[in-house]
Formats: sequence, structure tokens, C-alpha cells
Amino acid sequence: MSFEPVRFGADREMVGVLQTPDHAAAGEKAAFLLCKPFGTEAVRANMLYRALAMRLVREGCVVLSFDYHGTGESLGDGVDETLAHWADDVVTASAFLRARGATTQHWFGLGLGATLAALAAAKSSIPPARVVLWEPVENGRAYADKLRAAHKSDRERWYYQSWSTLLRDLREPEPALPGVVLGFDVGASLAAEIDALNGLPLDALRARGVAVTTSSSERPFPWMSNHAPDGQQQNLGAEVVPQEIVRAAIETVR
Amino acid sequence: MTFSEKTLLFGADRNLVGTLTTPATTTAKYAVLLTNVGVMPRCGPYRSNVIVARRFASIGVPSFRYDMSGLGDSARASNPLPHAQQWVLDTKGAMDVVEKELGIKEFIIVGVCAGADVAYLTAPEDVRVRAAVMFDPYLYPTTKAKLIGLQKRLHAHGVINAASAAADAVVRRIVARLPKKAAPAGENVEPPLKYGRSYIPPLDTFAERMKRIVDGGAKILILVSGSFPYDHNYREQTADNLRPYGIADKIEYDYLPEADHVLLGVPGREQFIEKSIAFAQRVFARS
Repeated sequence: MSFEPVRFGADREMVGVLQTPDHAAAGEKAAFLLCKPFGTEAVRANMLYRALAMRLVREGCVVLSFDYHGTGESLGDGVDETLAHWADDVVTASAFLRARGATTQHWFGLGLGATLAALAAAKSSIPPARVVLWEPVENGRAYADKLRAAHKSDRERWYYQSWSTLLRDLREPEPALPGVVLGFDVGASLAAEIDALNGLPLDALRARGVAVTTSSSERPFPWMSNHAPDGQQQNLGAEVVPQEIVRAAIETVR
Repeated sequence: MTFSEKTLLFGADRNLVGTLTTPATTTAKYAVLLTNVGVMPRCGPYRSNVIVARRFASIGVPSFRYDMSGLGDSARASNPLPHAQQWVLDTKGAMDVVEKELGIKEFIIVGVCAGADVAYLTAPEDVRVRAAVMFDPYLYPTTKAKLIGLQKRLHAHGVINAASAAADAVVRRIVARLPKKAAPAGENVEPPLKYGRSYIPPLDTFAERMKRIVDGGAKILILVSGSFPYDHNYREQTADNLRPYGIADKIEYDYLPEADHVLLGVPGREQFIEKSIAFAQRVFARS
């Protein structure tokens, strides 16, 4: 397997990791573009994306995972970003992958990453053959509520104090969008887009010939919650990589 | 933009991944090393390592943030060592690659949680580590801290809940002291890492190693967050811990009650960054 850190995107430089199988089965199977969720979920899902990439490469797939502009290792500042920009970033990443010979692509996303994959597939001039959408965010207001609740829960965890005590003693501000929620600064444009998010363009995708796989765990993994295990080094993967997600992605190329 | 970034593969197996942040103009003779916080990728919790890197770049100081073996984008080493040795080896590799790229031979490690452990482990092993900021390193409650902690428990949870928690703690302590079944010969007995930490060394061990570090000429800033209100809860606690070992006045320290362990809160994160930058500037202005 070859492992190549890559940078792409002329005006909005992004950082990714391109992994290619050793034997040139590449091209026989669809390549995978992995779209990450937002903020803390992206950090906590890091091991899932890593394990998923390795398993897909073993299946003979070329895999590109990347950070949207203004997130993770990429350049830019998150407060300036929007869903529309990030959906464009997915299209840019897909073009980069295509330039590396991956003409048939599947796009995988978790949480807000699934939403971005769907939005991007609806606007891309060359859509993917399939999108695999795991627990996509379809209701922006419910998602914002989850972000705020997780923010309070994390602060409570790290101070062993109730939220009301934190409000009183540390003069904590109530988390709000726009604003800093769960450690990330959500700008006004992104907050407005999240607020307006209601449903995904799945019919439009099917009309464009995109196969759509949507799924969720019976007991969704708490990616946003501080109850999500951060993992143990000797046991990375087993604890924080729900296998049903990996299986769902692999089944699309078998 | 006042800096550029590039991603590098490094290490003997070229299994390690790091991001070099280089200011547009720099005369700095040192670089900052940033690594994983627990098992989080090298961007850090809430992207804190990225923010730190770019803030240092804004004052002309390059940095390198890297994933250690098996974390973030870095693959496991082909012949992995026990994690403490592996972390030191990986960090030496990080310094090697920065030295090769920029010619810099002096470093400050800015480490959070397990990143502080990396500084603690590496500084005595490599003279290139001239300074370290250790945010929430191993903590050692003093009698005073325990009393303040009890007061905080009572204030936060009331007498009954605080008494119940104290009883639980006593039971846990008794259970921990019960004899344990010996591991079969040949079995890996290294304890599992939790949140990036496998164990807390005794204070004697910690202080002896810190003494080695400062006696070697490296400068240390210990910062402790407010996330451990029952264990570490007043500014002089670090000095109280280290005074018996004769190094309390050789180490800088501060207590940041507004900051939390993973730098979720922005005011606390800003305090951490500002104190880290000010410390680095003080240390390297002197050298």
C-alpha cells in the first residue's frame, strides 16, 4: 500500500492522505472519497476514518481522506467557512482524485460529512457512482441543539460541575450559533445554513444516476458526546470503530 | 498569509506524518514541537495545535506538529517499542526532520496532557529540547489540595453526595491494593493507555526526572488547568510538590482555573497560548 500526504485546491488549499493498493487492482474497484464530519466529531471519528481507509485499500480501492478548508490540518480559519464552501471542497477533492486516475468514485460521509457528500453530489458536474451516507444531518436545528447540549456536557465533564454551577462560578456564556460551540467558532453564514438545513436532495441524486446508501446504527455511536471513548492505544480501532460502518462501505465495492 | 505549511513523511520507516509551519520571514533559532493530545490527531483538540502553530508563525517562529506512531495519520512502527520509548524515538525523528529542513537545532515542546508526557520523557534524552511547556502533566494532590477539594465537593454536591463519593474512593483504593493475579510469562504486561496515559509515576520519580531536565539546562513551564478541582486547585501546588526536591524555584508554573484539560473553552485556550508564547520568548531571548 502506498501512503501519500497530499495538498490540493488552488484558492482553498486542503490537506489529505491518498492511499493506494500495492497491486494495480486500482481502477477495477471504485475509489473512495471520505468526507469527514464537523468539529469534535471529526476528531473523535479520526480512528474510524483511518481504519475504514485501511480496510478499503485492502479491498483494492484507492482512498482519499481530507480536511475541508479551515478544518483539521488544512489552511484557513473555520469561522469563515460555510456548508456551500465545504461542499465545493468535496467536489475539488473528487477532481483531484479523478486526476489521479479514479474515474469511478464512491463518496462516504458520517454526520455532517454525509450531508456535505450529498450536497456536493447534487452540484458536481461529474457526480459519484454512489454515496454512502451514515447518519447524515438532515435537520439543522436538531443538529444545532445537539451541538449546544454536547458543549455543556463537555464543560460539565471537565470541571465536575453542573452547568448551572459553571454559569454562576465561571460566568460561562450559553453556547449559541453563531458563536463558539463545542470548541469551534461557527460563523454567521454557517450558522444560518445549519439553521436552514432541512432534508437532503436524495431524489435529485437518484435522478442524476447516483446510487444512494443511507444508514444508521441501531445504537448510534456518540461521536459528539464526551461519553464517546477516546480510545486506548493498544486497542485503537476495536473500541472506536463501529464495524457496521466499515462493513457498509465495503459492501458497496464487493 | 504570513506562513507556509507542508506535510512531511519522516522516521526510520517513513511511517510518521507531520506538518511543518514556516513563517514567511524568520530569524528564530528555535522551533516548536506539537504532538498528539491523548489519541487525538496532530491538529489537537478543537484544532488547538494548529492555532498554536500559526500564532508562533505570526511572531516568526516555525513549528512542527506530528502524529506519533499509530496515531493520527502515522502508521505504527514496523518494530514498535514500548510506547514511552517509541514516543521518544518519534520525537527525536521529528527534531531530525526539522533540523534537516530548516537547520534548527533547538526546540521547545508545547505539550498538552500526553504531549506533556512526551516532553517529560524526551527532554532528558535529547539536548536539543531546550524548553517545554507542560500543560496538565502528572498531578500530585497535596494535603492542602485535598482539603480545598473536599470543600469544593461539599459546595458542588452537598454533604451526602460528597460523602458517597469519598466512600467510593476509599473502596477503589482498597481494591487497588489487593494482590493481583500475575500475568503469564511472556505476556505483554504494559498497562493500557487511557486518554493517552498509562500510569502516573510516583512523585519521587517525576521530581527526579524533572531535576535531570532542569539540571541539564532546559527550561520548564508547568501549567495546570481547572479540570481537576479536587486534585490540583491552587497556584503554589506545583511548587509545594517540587520544593522537597530543591527544584521549585527552577521551574516556572501557573494555575489556570479558567482553562480545561482539552482547551475547549476559548478564554482558557487563549491563556495557554499566550503563556506558552511568552515563555518561549523569554527562554530563547536569554539563550
